[in-house]
Amino acid sequence: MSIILKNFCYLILQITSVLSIQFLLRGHNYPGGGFIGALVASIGVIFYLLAFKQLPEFLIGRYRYFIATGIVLFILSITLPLVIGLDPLTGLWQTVTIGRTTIKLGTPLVFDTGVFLAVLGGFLCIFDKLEIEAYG
Amino acid sequence: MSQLLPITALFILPIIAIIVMLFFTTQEQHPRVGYYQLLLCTLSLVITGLLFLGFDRTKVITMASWPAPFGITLLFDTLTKFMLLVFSFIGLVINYFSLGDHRVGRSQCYLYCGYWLLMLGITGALATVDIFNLYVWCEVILVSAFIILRSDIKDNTKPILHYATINITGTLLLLIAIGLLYASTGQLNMAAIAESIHQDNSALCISAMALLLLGLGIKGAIFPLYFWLPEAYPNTSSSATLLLSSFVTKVIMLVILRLVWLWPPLQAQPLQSLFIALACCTMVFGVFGAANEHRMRSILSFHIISQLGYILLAIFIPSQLAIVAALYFLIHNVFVKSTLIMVAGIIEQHCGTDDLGRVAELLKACPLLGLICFIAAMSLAGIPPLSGFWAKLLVLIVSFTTQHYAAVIFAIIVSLLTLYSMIKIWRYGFCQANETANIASKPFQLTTRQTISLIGLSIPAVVIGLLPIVIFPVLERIAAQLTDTTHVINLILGG
Amino acid sequence: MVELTCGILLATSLYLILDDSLWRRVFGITLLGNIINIILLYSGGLEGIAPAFVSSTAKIGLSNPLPQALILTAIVISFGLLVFLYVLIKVVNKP
Repeated sequence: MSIILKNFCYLILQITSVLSIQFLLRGHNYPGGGFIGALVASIGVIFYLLAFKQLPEFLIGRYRYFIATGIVLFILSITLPLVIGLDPLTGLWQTVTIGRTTIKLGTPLVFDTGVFLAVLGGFLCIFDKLEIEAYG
Repeated sequence: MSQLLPITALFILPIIAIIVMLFFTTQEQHPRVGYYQLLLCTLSLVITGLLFLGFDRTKVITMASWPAPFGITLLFDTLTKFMLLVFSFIGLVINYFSLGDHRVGRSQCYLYCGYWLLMLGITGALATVDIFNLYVWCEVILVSAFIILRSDIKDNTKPILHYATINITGTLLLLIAIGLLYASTGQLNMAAIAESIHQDNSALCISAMALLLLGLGIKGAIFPLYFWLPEAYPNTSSSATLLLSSFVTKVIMLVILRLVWLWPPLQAQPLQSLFIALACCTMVFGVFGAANEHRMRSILSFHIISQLGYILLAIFIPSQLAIVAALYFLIHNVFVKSTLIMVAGIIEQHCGTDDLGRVAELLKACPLLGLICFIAAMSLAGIPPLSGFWAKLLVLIVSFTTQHYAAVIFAIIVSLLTLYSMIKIWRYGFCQANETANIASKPFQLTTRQTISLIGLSIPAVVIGLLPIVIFPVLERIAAQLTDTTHVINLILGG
Repeated sequence: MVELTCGILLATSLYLILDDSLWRRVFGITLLGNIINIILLYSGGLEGIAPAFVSSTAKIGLSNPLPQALILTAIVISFGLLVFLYVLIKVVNKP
């Protein structure tokens, strides 16, 4: 494949990675969220796969870690409110001020990150099992 | 708090178990993984046992602190707690048996992943009172059924494709029904829907409920929609058949039981007559299908359908005793049918096949197996001192007292035909010499593992048959809770 | 109009599901899944136009967010099941 396509696809992977994080972080009150973020990230991975015929080096065979980390984050977001004595999955919010910007952090974000990682892991698993076979 | 802890553990333990098993799938076959699995199963049994200790106290959990009609609500009443205890006990025994199942082979870890996903789905489906959440748990059960069916060294893709196509269509019908119910009542909570039915008994609402039962009926193998079951269940490893036959369709029946008592139109005409007729057809066609089969597991798969008919018949009869009958039948069936399928699996393991035309004189080859198979088969057919007799008697009594005489006649005929099938298995498989049988029936010994799992399943079956008094108080308590509909609705909406 | 569309597409998808060919069956299920999303959306009413964000300034004409949440879940689930079906068919058709 041509060098232009390779570089272009690599660029797309980088852009979609950043975009997916953006979608993940704004997800609670605006369109976006973990699932959509993971879809956007996997679009980048698909482009990379088209150009290089294999997954990025650090992702090959790693989907188990993504899924497992995602599920652990789910469990955290379910159990953290229970520890305080609230119902499971209740959102706990904490505002953090760094310099001039204030950020709202909470268990829904943890949950969303869990969804993000689990869905991304699922997609990587699909690519790992199907596409490698098709191209390689 | 004392109940919240085991309930949370009940949801989190399967998830952790899945992660553990996921990492074991990388290796070819890990020698210890079976023991880890058994440890986790024992833990799950202990947790459900702890939960069952407080079986009289109903626990309502609202997810994310959203009050009842808006958020997802989980209801842990006696029904949920008791059935979870029964299911996790059977799961432990089946997992123990699966360690020695030669057809599971390398895909062991996937079977365990599937099992934990199934347990998660069962817990959710039994506990939830939100119909959309119910749909989600049904999907979880469906996906786990796919994983479990695939755990076979032989290629069984075609039957799974069949299973998948029909069941996915079923879940989509369920989704249409949920949409229609939401359109007609504006609610997704079962209790809130029940309240709005009292105000407005519209045709749209009732037809949506019928569609919901149709969707559940496809998953629960009710009469015109059962064809996926006898195709998929025999064509996989016997551990997988055991797991699926004792969990999947039974959970759907329990969900239908809960719905029927929450929503009055389901037990009123015309739906009641329709579903009682369907239940009779399920019984009859299941047992006719079995008469035509020669493989032991195929015969037993058709009998699963026929017995689901009995359970469904009892569910749709509106009386407190009918609930006891349905639950008693279900528990008897889970134990006895699992014992028989396990016997078929052991025969297949030793003789290479469970085709009744090719095995013969197994009684001489292994007397203990013959004894257990005889007890279980007679119990399934309904011979007096055993559990099947009480189960069928209860169903007959409730349908007789509510003037469903046709159902009584069907139930008796089906019972006789079941006896015929069981005698067929007993005669061709265990007693009669067969010249054309090309499998030499050389004597074999059961391994310790097989003996323990067989006894572990058949002892509860015999105990509930000889001493029904041990579980009747619990079943009566469940029936009293389910029939007190207004109390349940207030509990859900007020909690 | 929406009812008519749903009815026609539903009939098409059922026709495809009942076909003998495996691929057509899967296409039928895909179509059915999508129509059901429309039905779910329609079940919540189509009056509102403004998206129901927390910070939304519109006080009337907000769309009902619940069917949208249901559809999102349904899409995710049917996506997973369809991937599984495609893989199964790929395995069946493998020479």
